[in-house]
Amino acid sequence: MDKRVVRFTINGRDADVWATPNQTLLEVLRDEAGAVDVKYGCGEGVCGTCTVLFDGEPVNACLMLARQAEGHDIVTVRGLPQNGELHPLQKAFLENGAAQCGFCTPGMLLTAYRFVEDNHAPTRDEVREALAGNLCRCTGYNKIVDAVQAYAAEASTRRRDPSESHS
Amino acid sequence: MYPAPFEYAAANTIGDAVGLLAEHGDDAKVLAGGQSLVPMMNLRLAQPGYVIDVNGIPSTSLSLQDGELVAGPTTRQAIVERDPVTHKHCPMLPAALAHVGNIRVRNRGTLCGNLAHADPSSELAVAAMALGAEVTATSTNGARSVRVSDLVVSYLTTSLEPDELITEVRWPVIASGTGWAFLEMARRAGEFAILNVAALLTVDDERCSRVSLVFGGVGDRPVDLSGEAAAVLVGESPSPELFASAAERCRELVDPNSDVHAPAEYRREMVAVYGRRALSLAASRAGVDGEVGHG
Repeated sequence: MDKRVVRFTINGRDADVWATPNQTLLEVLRDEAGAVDVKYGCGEGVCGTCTVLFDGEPVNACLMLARQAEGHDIVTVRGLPQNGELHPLQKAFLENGAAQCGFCTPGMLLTAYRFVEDNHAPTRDEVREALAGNLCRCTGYNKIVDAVQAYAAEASTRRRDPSESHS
Repeated sequence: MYPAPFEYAAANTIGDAVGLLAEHGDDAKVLAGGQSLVPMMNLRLAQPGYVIDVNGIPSTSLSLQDGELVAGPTTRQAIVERDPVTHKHCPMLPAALAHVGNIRVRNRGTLCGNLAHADPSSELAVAAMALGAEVTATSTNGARSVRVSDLVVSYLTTSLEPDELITEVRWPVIASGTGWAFLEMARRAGEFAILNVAALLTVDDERCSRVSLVFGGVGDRPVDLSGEAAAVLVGESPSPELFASAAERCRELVDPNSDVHAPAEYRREMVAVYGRRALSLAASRAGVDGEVGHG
């Protein structure tokens, strides 16, 4: 097998990594590109821990080959804060106690972030269904659902009145 | 867990892809969505010497052609699930897709790839068989059309030759007035179904005139009981009792395996329950008046 350079962006900055064909995107993100905020959970695509946004859409990094990232844009949870401030969704997680060990949290945040973009006022059941592929062993999910609904409501308010500041 | 070493080649056209398959077919696997292949490679259940990445083939959304919704080799499940064209012309398809894995799986997974994988409880295979969908299998020798019911042969086994690639799948539209249903039983969201069922029902002059009924998860491939259901239903007035009796007939005919998720007897029981529910739901969508029961 040959190692080849793979060029993509992570959170807006260029990344070059060397990868053999059998290295997954998850492996190179963590081991080569310093993106240890992307976690390894199952390696099978069922737990959601390794979620990254690939050209804006949530994917399982464990199920993509590193080579497939060539020329694409990847966003990890570290890409959510803006101007040194936590993203409102992250603040909602903190305010609602939606993280305990934090291992599922990056995947939860990225999936929920993308979900709320298209679903501005989800019911609890809709949030649960959207996060059905993100497993959490700690929280029992209720506070995560609280946080996502709180964020969706607050995002709707900001959408209606962009001049209103948020804490 | 990560894959064993392999050689990798990217194909940007169907021609490239089938050329590579002609060269390496026996030792090669096609990488489209990768949502079935890569887990198997990570677990080392699959160790192809050669992986042909077809994601360079431009991904299309469904196009409506001559009464069929046509998908290309890299058409993504999530795109089809969201497309208003799908909801309008073949609403069974987004209903089935909603049960496929999770959103991450559907963002990469393809329609053609799912069918090529031939899981016995594949929602797409079950829906495809109920709808009468066909695929095109292409190689350097040409292209041939294969009904999905002839494509899926056994557990994770298709009738494809090693050098063939599924380049198209064609889904017949559901005629207005035809009722449909897709139901799945799974204990946890996104996991493989204990069983699933796709039903189509046409009612003319208050009599059942056509029925499709296909079950997944009750054998090593989806089981098509349309003929047996038709023998009970066609010419009769729709009613809860009629649907229960058709579903009972299906229960007698299936021979599921027992596994860690459910014993065979339980799956058989669920065939009767879900068969009845699916026929009732299809009937209500066919505009059948009155209470046909959803119990």
